[in-house]
Amino acid sequence: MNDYAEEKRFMELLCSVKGLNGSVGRSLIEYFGSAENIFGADEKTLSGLLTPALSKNLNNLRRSLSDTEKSLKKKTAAGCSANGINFITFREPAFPDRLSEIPDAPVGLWYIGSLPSPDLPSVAVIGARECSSYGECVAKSLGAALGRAKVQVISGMARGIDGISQQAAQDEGGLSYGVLGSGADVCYPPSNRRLYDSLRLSGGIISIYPPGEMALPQNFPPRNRIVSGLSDAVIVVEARQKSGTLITVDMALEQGREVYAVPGRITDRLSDGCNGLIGQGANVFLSPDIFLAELSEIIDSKKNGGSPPREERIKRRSTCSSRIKKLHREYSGSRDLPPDLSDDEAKVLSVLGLTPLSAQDIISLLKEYDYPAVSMILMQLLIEGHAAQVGQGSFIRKY
Amino acid sequence: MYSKIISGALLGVRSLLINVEVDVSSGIPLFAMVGCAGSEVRESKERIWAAFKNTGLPMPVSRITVNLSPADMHKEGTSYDLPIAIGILESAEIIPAGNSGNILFLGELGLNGEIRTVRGVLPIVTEAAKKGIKECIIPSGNAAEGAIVPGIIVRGAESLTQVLEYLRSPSEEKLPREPACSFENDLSEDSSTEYEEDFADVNGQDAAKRAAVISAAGFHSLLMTGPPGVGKSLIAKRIPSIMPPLSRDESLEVTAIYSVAGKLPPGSTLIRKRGFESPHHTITLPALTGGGSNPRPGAISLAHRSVLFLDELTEFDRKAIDSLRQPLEDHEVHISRSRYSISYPADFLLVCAMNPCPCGYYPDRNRCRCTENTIRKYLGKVSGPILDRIDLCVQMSPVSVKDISAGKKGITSAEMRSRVVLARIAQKKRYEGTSYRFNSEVNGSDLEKYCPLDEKERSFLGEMSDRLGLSVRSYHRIIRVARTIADIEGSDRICHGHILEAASYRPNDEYWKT
Repeated sequence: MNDYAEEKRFMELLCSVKGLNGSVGRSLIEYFGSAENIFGADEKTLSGLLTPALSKNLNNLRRSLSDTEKSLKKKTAAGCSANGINFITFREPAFPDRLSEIPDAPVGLWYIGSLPSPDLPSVAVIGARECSSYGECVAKSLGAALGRAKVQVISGMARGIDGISQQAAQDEGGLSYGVLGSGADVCYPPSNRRLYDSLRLSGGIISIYPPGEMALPQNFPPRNRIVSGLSDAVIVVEARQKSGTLITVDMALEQGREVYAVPGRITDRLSDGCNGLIGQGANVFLSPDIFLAELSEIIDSKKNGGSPPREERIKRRSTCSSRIKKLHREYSGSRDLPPDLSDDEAKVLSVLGLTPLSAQDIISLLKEYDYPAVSMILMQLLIEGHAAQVGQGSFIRKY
Repeated sequence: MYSKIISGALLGVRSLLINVEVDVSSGIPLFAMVGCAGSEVRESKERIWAAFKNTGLPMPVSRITVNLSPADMHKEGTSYDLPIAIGILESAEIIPAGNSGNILFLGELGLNGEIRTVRGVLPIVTEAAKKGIKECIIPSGNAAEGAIVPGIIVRGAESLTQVLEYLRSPSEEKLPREPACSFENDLSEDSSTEYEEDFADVNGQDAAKRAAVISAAGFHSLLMTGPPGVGKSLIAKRIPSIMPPLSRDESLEVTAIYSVAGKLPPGSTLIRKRGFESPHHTITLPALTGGGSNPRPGAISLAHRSVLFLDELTEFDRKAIDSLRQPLEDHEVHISRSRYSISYPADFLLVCAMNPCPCGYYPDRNRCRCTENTIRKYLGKVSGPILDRIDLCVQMSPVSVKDISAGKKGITSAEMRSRVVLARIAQKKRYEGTSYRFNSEVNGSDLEKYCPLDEKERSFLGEMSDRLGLSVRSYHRIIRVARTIADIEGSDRICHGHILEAASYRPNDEYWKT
């Protein structure tokens, strides 16, 4: 055991080499027999095996190590546990199975809190950082539904869809895991501090980058690989054409994960990515209910080693009109307007949706009202909680 | 020989009479000027020299000493040319002594002897009339401006020769008196109070138009947000046209400021239309508030009793914007420099415009790709204290082509003005005998007294504050704006609907504080 503890420290050091990905790390360990041997090997052997940049990074680390080898190793270990940061390697049984499956699985992970449980389903919810009110609404209700269903929500804790869905899951008492593009002890973006703190307690913060690492742009694509790797299925809520979210989808497909896309209007640029995915054969996300039913099938069939029964699923979706009705209730409260509204309020609320409209826009839709009247009705709806204000003077309906 | 001529100097928009003393005595020929004269004043020596030569007048070959008294006050400007020239002529006994007594002289001399316009004529002539001076001789280009002042004979002169002839033997034909022009009896061409720009030309934009009426009625500062090209400047430009016409006193004040700033076109009299100041966002602080080594009113004083429009508010220098705080409170700006300390009136209506985000299309996420951070940074450029002083925020959206082609004509400026006037009358009655003039000025502590709410409305507003998380400042702001809306609607009490509408103009804290 002592030997393993020593070896684990070397593995941790290996993981902190810049630019060294999982497959190279594993191959090196296999080649040398152990991580410790990598640090004992001579420079020439290493430079023969690695790219110049990588061997330079590794050698720099080794050199700094040779002076104060012991103290540095201790420092890494002590520093981590002091911050509540744990390190786990692929050799340990607690290492997430889902992650071990994927090509290019990391050698180790740093994490705060816990790791996703293999016994509970886990789903990645991803999407645009600058999302629309529609995306926000879907992410919120989806996260909440997953949280209630005890499905672990995996995401990148980014602004927009990621953070909103994770926060919603947390608010429902669900488990959620944030995979960061920075060290696990660096809260990025800082605006998600509340989420970060709550994830530490009910869920976890996971990173393949050593503590203290800043959120560098090049860190995010490898991070996305972990997000999809930790999940049974990936749901894309909102994405533009050519966005980082779609890169994650590519990785998910590479890893054999089921991809769901939330459909949007063809006029919405933020739905182009999702609609495109559906066009390419991605699963269409119709409601949390339908999704959860299909998710259990996906997990079951995976356990039995078979591929998910796709045709059957599609057939079933065509007959789920009763579920679609339920869907309306879930997303639009119900089709009916709240009962306590005056006629004017009902009229204005019926034109409001998830696309922000200004009072001016409403006047051109409802010609019978003048501006003072519309502004009064909007304020009344706002106070009663049926509408929300976006920007200085745009309104959306609150479901 | 010694002579003494009366002239005047500017002190802000007020003025002070200056005695121009000239002594011509035998000795080594010399032209000395004393009395704390600035560089333009000292240059007048050269202008006088050439003007004398070119009008065929002999320059006395003697020791000439000019003193501008009070001698400890710094003097600027070119208006001393004429009084100094007359002083020399009198001292050299070319014109008889005594004829220039009790006459105020102002004017810049050209090298050919013509008399050119100067700035600040109105305040100086006003001061002269107050001090009992009976007559003034000023550049003919400024004569109409001087003739505004009652109780003084104003003569406009074209050239030095003309003045010389008049002073040799005063007679009406030589230098005719400028017909007096009073506010009530002004027959000049620019006495029209019609504005070229009218709200009837603006299609749609009911929200902004309504906000403009409220703004003009209660003197509430206004901020318009909206995508580029939506018509923010169009609305702002038309706000002066819905304000009540300038009163006699207001007209005098505004004319005096323009006179001091040198912005009155030659031959013009009283300003009767409210102006529209729209400085570019690169404006420096002294240009905005006034100042400079040779003090002049800034943009905020030129906007006195009218509209100061700051387009692209976020692009302005933060310091310049923050400097508006004191004038917004005091309605005048105090400028203290090492050489002077003056104040200019600056009672302006602040109207601002900006895009909702750097690209201009937020919250339309189809077009706007600004990140939350860039939006926050962009909004952060609007200083908090100024935002606190803005009563009305209104968001504008593009008018659809369908609405324009429907040919729906908007209401005219005249109709809007009638509502503004109604509200102004109500306010005049309400604040009689107090220092307040408009609803927007009432302090939080006096709101209870002047803008009381009934019990039902008060509890509704309280509930609304809780629901929307309003600050005390927002709460007071809503009451002030609601009072103005009630005044526009001709209502004595503030009703439920007035409060709701007023609340729709509050800055949305969630958006501004993100």
